[in-house]
Amino acid sequence: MTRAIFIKEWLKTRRCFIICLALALCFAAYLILSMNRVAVNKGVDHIWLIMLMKDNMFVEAMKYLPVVIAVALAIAQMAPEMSQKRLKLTLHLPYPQTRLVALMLLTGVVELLVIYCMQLSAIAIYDSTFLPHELTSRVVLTTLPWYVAGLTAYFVVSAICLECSTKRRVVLGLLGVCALYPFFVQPAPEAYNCFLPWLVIFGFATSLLSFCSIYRFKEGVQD
Amino acid sequence: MKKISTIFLYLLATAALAWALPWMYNLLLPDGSRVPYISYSPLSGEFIATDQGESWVVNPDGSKGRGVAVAERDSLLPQQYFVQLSNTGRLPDSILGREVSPKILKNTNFVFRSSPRDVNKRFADVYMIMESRPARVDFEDPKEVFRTTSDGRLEFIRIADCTVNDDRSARFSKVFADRGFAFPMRDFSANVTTRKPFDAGYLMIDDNGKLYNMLQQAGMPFLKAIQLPGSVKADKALVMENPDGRHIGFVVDTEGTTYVVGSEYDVKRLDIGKFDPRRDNLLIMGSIFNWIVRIANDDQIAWKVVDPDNYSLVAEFVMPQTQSKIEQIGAYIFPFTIAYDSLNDSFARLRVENFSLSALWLNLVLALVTVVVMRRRRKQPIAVVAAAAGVLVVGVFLFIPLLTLN
Repeated sequence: MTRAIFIKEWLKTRRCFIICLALALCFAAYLILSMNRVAVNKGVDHIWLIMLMKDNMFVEAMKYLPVVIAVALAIAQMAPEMSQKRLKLTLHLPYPQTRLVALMLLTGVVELLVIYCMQLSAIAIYDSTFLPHELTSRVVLTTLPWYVAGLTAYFVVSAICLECSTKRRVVLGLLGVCALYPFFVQPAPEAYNCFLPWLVIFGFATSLLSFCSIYRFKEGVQD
Repeated sequence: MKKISTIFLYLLATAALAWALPWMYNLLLPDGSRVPYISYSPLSGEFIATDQGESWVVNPDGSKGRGVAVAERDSLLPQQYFVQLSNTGRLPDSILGREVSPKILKNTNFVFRSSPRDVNKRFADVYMIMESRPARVDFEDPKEVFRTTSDGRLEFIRIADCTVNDDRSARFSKVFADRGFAFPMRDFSANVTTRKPFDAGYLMIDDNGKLYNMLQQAGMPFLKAIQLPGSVKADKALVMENPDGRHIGFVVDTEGTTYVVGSEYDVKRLDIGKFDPRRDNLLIMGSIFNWIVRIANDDQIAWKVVDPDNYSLVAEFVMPQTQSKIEQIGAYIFPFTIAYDSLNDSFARLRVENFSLSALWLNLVLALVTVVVMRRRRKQPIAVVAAAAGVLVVGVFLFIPLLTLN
């Protein structure tokens, strides 16, 4: 059954996954080409100077991309459940409901992690060709909060999609904005080093919102 | 799972409102308070404040003294308005026995700033190093960076190809070992830019609280241990490179006393009282007449005037940071606030702050309303008690979710 659920979720999200993966890799290529252009035109030392003196890690352009990808994937995965009334059937499957919802979310998380890892690896591998490991890890640590924000956005948007009441959807949307705000509040490099473990716990805790929506759906809550 | 997810929803809503409501309150109701620009006249020995074109003498108790016309203000503050005085032919040849001219005043005036936001931040673990004695007149951008290793060595990396310069690494490591520099480096300060009159290199503090000055001169290492008075242990170094070249920076000891480090490595106490670079904003406006030192933190703003020759205190004025009316009213509404950033550092973290006992009265009223509403909704007694207790503690932040997330 577990495999069947994974396949069901994969069939729903594969197109979106491929588009998001392509988008993420295109963005990584754009960042790499931008850095390469600076390196060719002004020299590698200019990149080092900008990184060390201006605290510019050359990754600002992709700041909100993980969130955009996560929102798209969550909508692609969860919206059909509600719009095509599939959720009722899904919940009637001979499988524990909590585990069922957890598996649905896990599928999305795995897909997101694949996209995020491939994008970050591409940037990190390119950076490591001409930067010392201190600066490469600085770039990676600066981007990590944005990826955790993406996971949080995925859980919040999933909860919104699975919610049956419009009023509660609006409330969840506002809560989602408040929940994502701390991930983007501080632009300084490595500003989140100490806060990041707590944000990861918080991000995964937001998966509980989807369970809340499912219970309300089962109870037949409507506007 | 249902209970856990519901509790999490309420916790999330409470935390979100604890951030969003005070933020919206401050956005909608700006307090309008501002601090006037305050300077010190070397001629009259008075603090002169200027705000929106109006100037006045600041009385010792902080109240507004006599008004000062623009022309009088220019004359009283020649160190700042010398261009205006010169253009109108009112700049004398000497002031207080010192020869003055626009050129002299321009070359000796300086502004030095230190902000906790720039101090409390995560620095990269590689440091750029400039050539202090470049072959040509102008400084050049650094060609190498260095890192400190766990076994107490310096490793220089060529920027061009990201390879280690073994020769330079060995030379600098030997000098550091010979001078007794104790790793790890506790603090450092440098001003890596080509737009400066001279290069003071790095001021470094070793693990024993000893202060060092490191330079790269014609590719060779220069490391000087700077003798601090008595048993002073350095805590924070700040490099300063002014056109007159008299100083290379400041050092703050573990007790919060500040010392001026001269270009001849003479260290003298700056009589400004306690200064904590990790908490206080520092602004020094220096001239040949005085140094006006402004130290601002969450509690107060202090203007201290020191003699530029012996760094002794000449005058001071302290303005406490008081709560505005808007903030006072806010303290009756919000029992605390949540923020994720601060003006005092460059870190993101959860900050639960501005605790207010004044909000307890509103919390009490809201808790009673919660009891009435929840009893009408026929909630279980235990849920009513828990909700009322929660509202009593976190007030309006939980009251709104309890009413709306039914």
